Order: sequence, then structure tokens, then C-alpha cells
Amino acid sequence: MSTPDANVNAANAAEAGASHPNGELAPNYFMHTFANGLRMVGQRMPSLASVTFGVQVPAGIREEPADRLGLTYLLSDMMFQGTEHRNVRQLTEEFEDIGARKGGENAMEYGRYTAQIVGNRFDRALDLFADVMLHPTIPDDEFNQMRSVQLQDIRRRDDEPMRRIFDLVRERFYAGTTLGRRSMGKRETVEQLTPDDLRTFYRARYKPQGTLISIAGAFEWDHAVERVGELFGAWIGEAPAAPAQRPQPQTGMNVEIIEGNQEHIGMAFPFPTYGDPDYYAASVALEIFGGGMTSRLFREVREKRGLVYSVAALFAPNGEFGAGYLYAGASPDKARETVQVMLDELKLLQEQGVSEDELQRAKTQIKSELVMRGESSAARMGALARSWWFERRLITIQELKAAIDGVTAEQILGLLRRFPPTTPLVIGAIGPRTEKELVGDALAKLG
Amino acid sequence: MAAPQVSPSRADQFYTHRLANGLQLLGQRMPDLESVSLCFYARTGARDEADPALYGVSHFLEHMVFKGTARRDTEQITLDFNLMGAEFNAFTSVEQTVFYARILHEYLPKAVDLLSDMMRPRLDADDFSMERNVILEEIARSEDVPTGQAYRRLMQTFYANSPLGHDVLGTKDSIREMSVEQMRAYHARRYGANNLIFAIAGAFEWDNVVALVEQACGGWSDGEAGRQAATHAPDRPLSNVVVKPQLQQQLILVGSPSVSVQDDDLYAAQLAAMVLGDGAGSHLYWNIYQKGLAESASASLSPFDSTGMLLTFLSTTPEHAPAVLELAQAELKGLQADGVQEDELRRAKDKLISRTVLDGDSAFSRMQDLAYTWVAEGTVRSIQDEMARIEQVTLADVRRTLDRFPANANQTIMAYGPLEAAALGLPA
Repeated sequence: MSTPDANVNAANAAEAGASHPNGELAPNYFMHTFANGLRMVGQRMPSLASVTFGVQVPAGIREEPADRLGLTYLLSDMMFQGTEHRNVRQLTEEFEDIGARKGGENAMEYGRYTAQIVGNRFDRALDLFADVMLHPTIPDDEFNQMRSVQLQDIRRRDDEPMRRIFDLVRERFYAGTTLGRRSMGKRETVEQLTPDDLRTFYRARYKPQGTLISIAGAFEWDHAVERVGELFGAWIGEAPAAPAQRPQPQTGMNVEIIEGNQEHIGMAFPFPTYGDPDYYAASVALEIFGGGMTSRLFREVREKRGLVYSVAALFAPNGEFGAGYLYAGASPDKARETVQVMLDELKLLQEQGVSEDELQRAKTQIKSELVMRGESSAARMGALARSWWFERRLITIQELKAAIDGVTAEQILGLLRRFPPTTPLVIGAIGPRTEKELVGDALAKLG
Repeated sequence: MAAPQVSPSRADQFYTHRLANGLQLLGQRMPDLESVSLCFYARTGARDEADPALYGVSHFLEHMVFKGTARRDTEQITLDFNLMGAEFNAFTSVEQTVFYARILHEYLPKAVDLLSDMMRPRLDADDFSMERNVILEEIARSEDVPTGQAYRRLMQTFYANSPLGHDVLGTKDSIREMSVEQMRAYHARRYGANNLIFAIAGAFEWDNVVALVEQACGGWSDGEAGRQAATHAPDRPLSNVVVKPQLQQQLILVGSPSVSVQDDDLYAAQLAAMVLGDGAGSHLYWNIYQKGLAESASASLSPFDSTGMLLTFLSTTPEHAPAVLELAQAELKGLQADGVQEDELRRAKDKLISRTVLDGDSAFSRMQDLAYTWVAEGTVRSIQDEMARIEQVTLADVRRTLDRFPANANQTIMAYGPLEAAALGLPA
């Protein structure tokens, strides 16, 4: 059992009831560091029936060996395929017995294992997770089976252009770094994977120093600290830090020509990371540009011209190098006009920024969604994990609302000068049309 | 082990009220939330498009509802949602069309005013022509998703002689040919007050809700209510093989006749389907997915008004496909012969109960559940009642349900992928 961190005594902080960025935490927010370096953050939501927790490890897709792409995807399944104390059938049935919604995910900058359960089954779920995280066996039989499943996953993804359009975009956007890798890897590399590859990776990177447990929902903090301390206290070690990478995206296009009913178009441009002073300005700017049915893209591309069914912008801040993403799917004969309108709108945004009216509406929208999502234990678990992982602090909903309120039209103009969205601009397309048919010389004109 | 605990602050606060014109109001108060979710649920969908010229009209109309009313143009509609910071959208299914918003509770009067206004759209001819393009794009998009295509073809074959069988989106031809007059007539017929439900869950005061809805909707006239829902199920084995040489994965869907939403054995059928193929721990999971033979092997229940289907879904390689189909058939046959075991039933119940309790945290999920339960059973039900109904299911109930709806009889098999019928042992 570890000793509580002297600097942040969570229980006292909760009683103090103050919200301060550098010290005490807001009511119902908690943080603790165990002696082995394991961090835990939490938000108590007493009116809920559920609790959601996640164990986030510094072992993302970017850390895979270059000839073992797809390793983390397989590992995120294999972690649930048996431990030193439970074979796969026992483990699966025990999770089923407590009605857990559980799973592993492999993100670019981390791996994460999560479970959502009814509050009074939290202890059982935690016991199982400790076994999964600390004593996985990665058994050979199950390994071969899950690798076959992954190879089929890759094939199914290949059959669905919409699901892999951003693989094409990101490979070009993050060229020369490990940040543009595909989540599932490639057939050639997955076929090469062995159980020992996974075990080696697990042993090197699944360490308490650098790992974060995030909990939100119906639970008692002191009890959680005690249980996690007992279960994870003997775990030791530190994962090596990830080397910093600086992608240098260049304007250009990746086109894959297939027979299909639509041309799927993806775009990416550099944008702020988490923690960047312009982070909130960027969220607001992309909400205005392509966030919903009132956004510019939706109005111009779909409502006024009927060119598409789907068109949207998405902010992908990441920790190292952020991006703004755009997507549209159009019939082949409307694809060129769709690309042109998107480019025109990007240019307009870049030159003129946003209006005061748009700004106010986007702020209302974002703040309201923050509060509404704040009612879900899964959403809060994710938000807490994100804010600690990328910014090393716990950001409350109140703080977020204030930060959004602080964004000005002038700040957005400044952001768009720092990150002009048309330069560089990477475009990907999957469908029947060629690069020339889709953009002509429009990319050359962007410079 | 302790039963899943429902939060005490979720003590049941259910309300129902019917306006004089037949509009049904349903509510669950969740006073500890800041948000409220509300919807209009129209009891109409693809199933109510008996005339092939109307194929897709329910879904097309769902889009047109956002295109303007007597009081608001389309920009004003989205602007008004935006000014509330609402999450809003709509969806159309075979039996319902739902328009919803999720807002902070202080905006409730504005949201009721806006959503109710939208239920009386202007259906302008120019907007109709422009939106037709968007629908055609939505159809094109759907054609690039093999799993969706395969499911629609399964429904088409299984419900060949029923309006349930055609695509919610319609066909490119029906959408190109449709006139705005046809849509107006459909709207007048199917969007009467007596065919709509207003459902709300979250932070509200019921008297206030009733007053707001009465004021906004009290003047609506009525129309056609419900539908002539004939029971329908194939009475012989059917198959449909669509060959797509460019695809890598082979999809196989098996539909077996099963319970309707009104059936007393709904929960028994649901639990049996879970034992068969609901994710981790199910028969299909252990014997197909976990063996690495298929990327997906699952089963689920699709109950409809007066009819229903047990759906088995398989995604595998062309090489494994014949064996995977055989294994899945062996599981369906085994379920039929042996039923489910005591411990399997216990586990399935726990899973379903946990899911019910976890979803109970979400006002949006409760709002939908209120409407679905009302349509199926004419009542509202608390999470505790739902848990009790799940608990009551016995092995004998499951046995009876399987005897009534054998999982391995009169199946419709839909194959979508590179393989020809012969390779799967199916009739050409």
C-alpha cells in the first residue's frame, strides 16, 4: 500500500471546495500519486448509477517497432485473453458476470483500457483490471486467433472507403514520423507479429510511472485510493519517454482510385495541440467552420448546393502536433465542385476570420455540450484522462466554460495567421476520380 | 453478488397525459440533471410506404422538416437550435421517425416551441428539389458500406411480401420521381396529433411541460393512427446471394422468424439471442470469433410491430466462409435442440440488467425508451420494473419461445461478398 502524495491531499482539497489551477481541486475532483509513480484522477458524480474507469498507459501506436505495425491493436485485445490467474474463458465470464462494458483501445500517443459498470460492482471490476494490467500471459493459441481476426479487420476496413480515408490523409500529413501510422497496421507487418513481440513491448512500456487511472461516476475516492494502492502498489518501473517528433507536412494529395458510388474526400492542416494558448480559439473556429448544421461547410456545401450528404470539420489536437480535419462524400460528378467550395471556404475563413455573431453562437453551443456531456461518467472519465495526460492538470467544466468565453474574434484571426489552414493542406481522396479531375491546378495555386 | 443498484436519486417520477386531439405526452423526471431531452416520435416509417411511388418518403420528409415552417425558414430553425446550444437531429427507421433535441433545462419553452413548429413543415417545392440531391447523395453513400447493403438486402428478402422489406432511404428512382404533393399528402395522413408522441426525460416540471405542449400542439388535427400491421414471416427457407468480386470480406446474414415487440416472450427471446451471440461470452463468440475464423460473429433480436427476426451476422474471409456458415448453423441448431443452460441465462440476465441500469443514467436513452415502450405496450416502465421483468424469465420460457420460433427453421440467408452461391452451398 502506497502513501498518499503529500502535495495533493485529495480529501482535504475536496473539503476546501476551491478551484485553483495550481493547487487545490474543485469539489468532487480528486488526484493522487502512488509511491510507484502511478497517478490517479477522479470525479465523483453521486447521482449516477454507473462508474467508468480507464487505465491509460504510455504505449501508443507511435511507439510500435517500425516492422511491427499493428502491434498495439493486437495487444489491446490480447490483454483480455488470459492472465496468470485466469484463462480466457474464466476472465471473460467474470467480466460478463458483473455486466461490464469493457475494452481496450490503441491511440496514437497511448493505450487505454476502460470499463463501465454499475457502481456497486466497482471493486470486482478493479480486481479484474489489476489482473489484466499486471499479469497478462498473451497465450499462443489465443494470439494466433486474434491475429487472424485483426487480419480480417484490415480486410473489412479496406472494403469501406469511408473508414480509411483518413489513413490516406494522415500517412501523407505525418510523413517521415511515426504519427501517421494506421491503427491496425498492415497485412505484411501483422503477419510477422509474434507473442514475444507483444510481451517485449508490454514489459518495456506498461509501467506505473507514466500510467494514469481515471475514474468518474458513482464511487468513493478514499476507498478507490486504498483499493488501487493494494492492487497496483507492487508494480514498479518507468516507461522510456517518447522522443519528440516534428512533422513537416507539405501541400499535396494522396489519391486512391476505386470503383465506388462516391468520392470520399479528406483534408488535413496543422492546428494547435492540447495546452496551446490558441487551443480554445481553435475549437471555436472549427465549430463555426464545420461543427454542425449551422456551420459554414454544412450551409455552403450541403444546404445551398446539395452536393453532399456528409460534410464536417473535426479538431484533432493530439499532444505533439495537432490537426484540423475536413471530410466530405460526394457523387463523382459533384466531387470537383465540392472540393472547390471547401477550398474557397477555407480561404475565406483564413482571410476574414469569424463574425461576432458566429462566435457567440459557437460559444453557446460548445458550453452547452460541455455541461450535457458532463452528465455521463464515460465522457467525464475521458475528459479527466485527457486533461491530465496532455496538460498535467485537472480542468473542471467551469474552467472550460470560462476558457471558451474568453475566446475573441481577434484571437481567432491570430490563430489563423499562426496556422493558415490552406498552407500546408494535405488532401486524400478515395473514389473513381483522378487528382487532376478533382482539383485541377487548385493545389498549385494555394502555394 | 449484489444486484446492480439503481441510484436513489432516480426514484421513479413518471408522467403521462393525452391531449384532446390525441397527442400522447410521456415524461420521466430526473431532477438531479441540468439537461433535458425531448422528442417528437412519429409512428410512421418505411413500413408505412405501401405504395412503391412513396418508397423513401418518410426519410425524405424527415429531412424536409428541417427546411422551414410557416414561421421559420431553414436558417432560422438551425439558428434557433444553435442559440440554445442544443444537440439536435432526427432519424427514420422502418417503423418510426424521431426528431429530438437535448438542451439545458432553462431552454425548455423555446425547444418545445421550435420542435412543435417543425412538426408542421412548409414543404416548399424549391426546397424539396434541392433536398432531393442530398437524399440521392445519402443513397450513394450507403452503397459504399457493404454491411448496410447486406442488411438491407436481407430485409428485402425476409420481408419480400411486406412493406417492411424496402429500404428506408427509398431507391434512386423513387426519390427522383417523387413529387412534393405526394409528400404533403403523406404528411397530412401520417403526422396527425393522434399518431405522434411527445417524450421527455431529464430536468423539468410536468405541469409546465403539459402547458407548453398544449399551447403549441393543442390545435393540431388528427389523422391516421397506427398501421395495419399484418404478421409476416417467411414460411420456407430463402436465400439471396449478391456477388461483389471487388470486396475482400464475405458477409453472411441469417434471419430467422422471431417475436414481435408486443410478444409476451420478448424478454425470453432477447435473452436467448444474447446467449447465442451477444458479444464476449456468447456461443458464436467462443466457437467462431474467438477461434479466429471470423472478424465478427454475433446475433441480435430485431423485433418489430407484429413480427420479428433473429439476426445472425457473420463477417469472414471467402476461404473460411463455408465453414463459418456451417458452424453458425450448428450453433443455431444446438440452441434449438438444447436451449440455454441455467448459468448462461443467469449471465445474460445480469448483462441485460446492467445495461438497463447503465443506460438509465442518460436522459436521452430514457426518453427513447419511454416512447418505444409506450408504442409496444401502451405503458411507461421504470428501470426497477424492467429489471423485474428480466429476472422473471425462466428456462421454461426460453424453451417455449424457441419452440414457437425455431432458430434453425425458415431461415433467410443473405450473402454479400466475393463468393458465388454454389461456394456457400446455397441455391443460385
